[in-house]
Amino acid sequence: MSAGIAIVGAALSDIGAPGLDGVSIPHELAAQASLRALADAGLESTDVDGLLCCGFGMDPTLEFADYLGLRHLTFVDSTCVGGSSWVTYLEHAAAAIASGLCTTALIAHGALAYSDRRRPFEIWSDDRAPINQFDHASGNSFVTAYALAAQRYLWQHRLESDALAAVAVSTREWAALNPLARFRDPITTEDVLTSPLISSPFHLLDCCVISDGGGAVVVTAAERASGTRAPIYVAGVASLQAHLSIAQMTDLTITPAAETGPRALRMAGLRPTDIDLLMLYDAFTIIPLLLLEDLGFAVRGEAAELFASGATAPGGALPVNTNGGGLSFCHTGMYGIFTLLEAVTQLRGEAGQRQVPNVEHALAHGVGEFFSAAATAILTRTPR
Amino acid sequence: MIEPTPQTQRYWNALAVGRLTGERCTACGTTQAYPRRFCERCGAESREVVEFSGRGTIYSFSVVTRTPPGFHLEAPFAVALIDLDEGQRILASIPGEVDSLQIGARVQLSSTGDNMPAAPCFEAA
Repeated sequence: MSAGIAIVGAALSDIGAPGLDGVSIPHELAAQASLRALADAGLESTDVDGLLCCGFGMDPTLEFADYLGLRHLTFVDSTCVGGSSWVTYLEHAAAAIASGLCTTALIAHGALAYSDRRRPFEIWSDDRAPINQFDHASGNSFVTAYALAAQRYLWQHRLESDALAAVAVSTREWAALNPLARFRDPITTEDVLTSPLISSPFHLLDCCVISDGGGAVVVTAAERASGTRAPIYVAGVASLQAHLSIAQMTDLTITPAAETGPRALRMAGLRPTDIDLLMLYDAFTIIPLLLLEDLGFAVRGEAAELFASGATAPGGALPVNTNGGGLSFCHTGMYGIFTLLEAVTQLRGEAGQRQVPNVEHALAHGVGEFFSAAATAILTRTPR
Repeated sequence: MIEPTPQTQRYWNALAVGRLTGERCTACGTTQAYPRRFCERCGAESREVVEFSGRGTIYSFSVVTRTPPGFHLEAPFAVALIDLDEGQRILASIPGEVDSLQIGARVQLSSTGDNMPAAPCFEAA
C-alpha cells in the first residue's frame, strides 16, 4: 500500500527571520535548497530528469531549470494551486515516475515574501479577471477570506476567539525548540487576544509570519531508495482542486481535506490512530482547527480542545506543527514544502531538541488559495 | 481593482443605479450571480438579466481594520458573504456601523456611492 515513491533528499534553504540580505531573486533560495537536497540524496544535478515547481514567472519550470543549469528534463510540472502545490507535486511525481516519464524528480520552492513585501503582490494582476471584479473588489484578501471561515466556525460551535488562540499558543511551544524559528518566546491566550485586530476574528498572532525562505525534496521510485542515506516513503498522497473564491465554498467549515485525508490514508492502508505526527498548513489559526476535524482527528467543534489541552504541544499525544509552523517558524506565502520537510526530518530522527519519540507515520497537509485546493501526504519511516 | 469587460459592463451599469442583477440561462434556468459567458451548469451561451431584490442574510463577515491600498472605503468596514434571498451567495462590503453585525442578520443593498465601479455595499435591513 503506497504511492510507490520515496523522498531521498530533503533540505531547507537559508531561512530569513524574517528576511535574508543579499538575495536578489527567489530562484536563489530554491536553488540553494535543491543543491542541498541533492547532496543529501548523494545525487548530482545531472541525475535530475523531472522538475516540479512554481512561483517563478509565467514559465516557472523553464525559469528555474535554467537558473539551476538543468537543460534536459523529460517531465516538468508547474501546477500552481497555491500553498498546497508542493504536496500535490508528490502525487504528480509519483504518477510521472510510475509511468516512466522520469526517474528522479526535484520538487523545489523559494520565495522572498519578506524582502519583496513592499512590491505590489499581484497574483491576479488583470483587473478584468473575475477574481478581481467579484471577489477582491469587496475588500477581500487572504486574511479576510480565512477570517470569514473562522467567524463562521466560531458561530456554528458557539465558541470564542480563545479557540483560535489555542492553536497559536501550542504552535509557539514547538517554535521555542526550533533554532530557525522567527518567534520563540512563549505566548499566552491573552497575548493572542490582545494583539492588534487585523480582520475579525483574527488578531495579529492568529496570522502567520512573513519570511524569505525555500525548500526542496528529491523523489525517486521507492525501490531505488534503499541505497540513499535516509529515505522516507510516501505511503499515500491525494489532492483535490475545488472552488477558487471563498464565495463559491459551500460550507466554510468543511475543507477539501475532508476528501483528500481519507483518500491518502486509504492509499497508505492507515487510519488516523496510526499517525504519530501532523504537519497542518497554518497560515491562520482556523486552518489547523478545521483540518484536524476534516482529517478525522477531532470531532467537529472539538479541535480547539486538543490544542488547549496540550495534546498537540511538546510532550503531547498528537504533535502538530513541530517546527513552529507558519505561525511562528516561517511562512513564504506558499508554505506546503515546509510541511513535507518537517515531517521528513522528524521521521528521520533528525529534529534535535524538538524530536518526537518513535515517529513511524506522519501526515502532511497543504492548503491553497482560499481553501481552494488541498493535498494530503502520508509519509512513513519504513516502506509499507 | 475592477476593469469592466463587455461581458460585465451591464452588471456594473445596473449596480451604479442601485440594481443588483444576475443572469439566468435560458436553456436550463440556472441563475448565476456573476456574469459569465457560458452557463456554469449546462454551458449554453444564451442568458437573460434577472434583477435581485437586494435582500439577503449574512452567512459570515469580517471587520477589516486596515484600509486596503487604493480601496474606496476606509477601515473599519466589513467584508461579508451574503446569501441573497434568491439563493446565490456573493461577496460584498458593509461600510459604516460594523460593531453590531451578526451572522444571520438581514441586510439589503445600499448605495455604493460615487466610486463606481465598486463591489455591492449592503446595510442592515
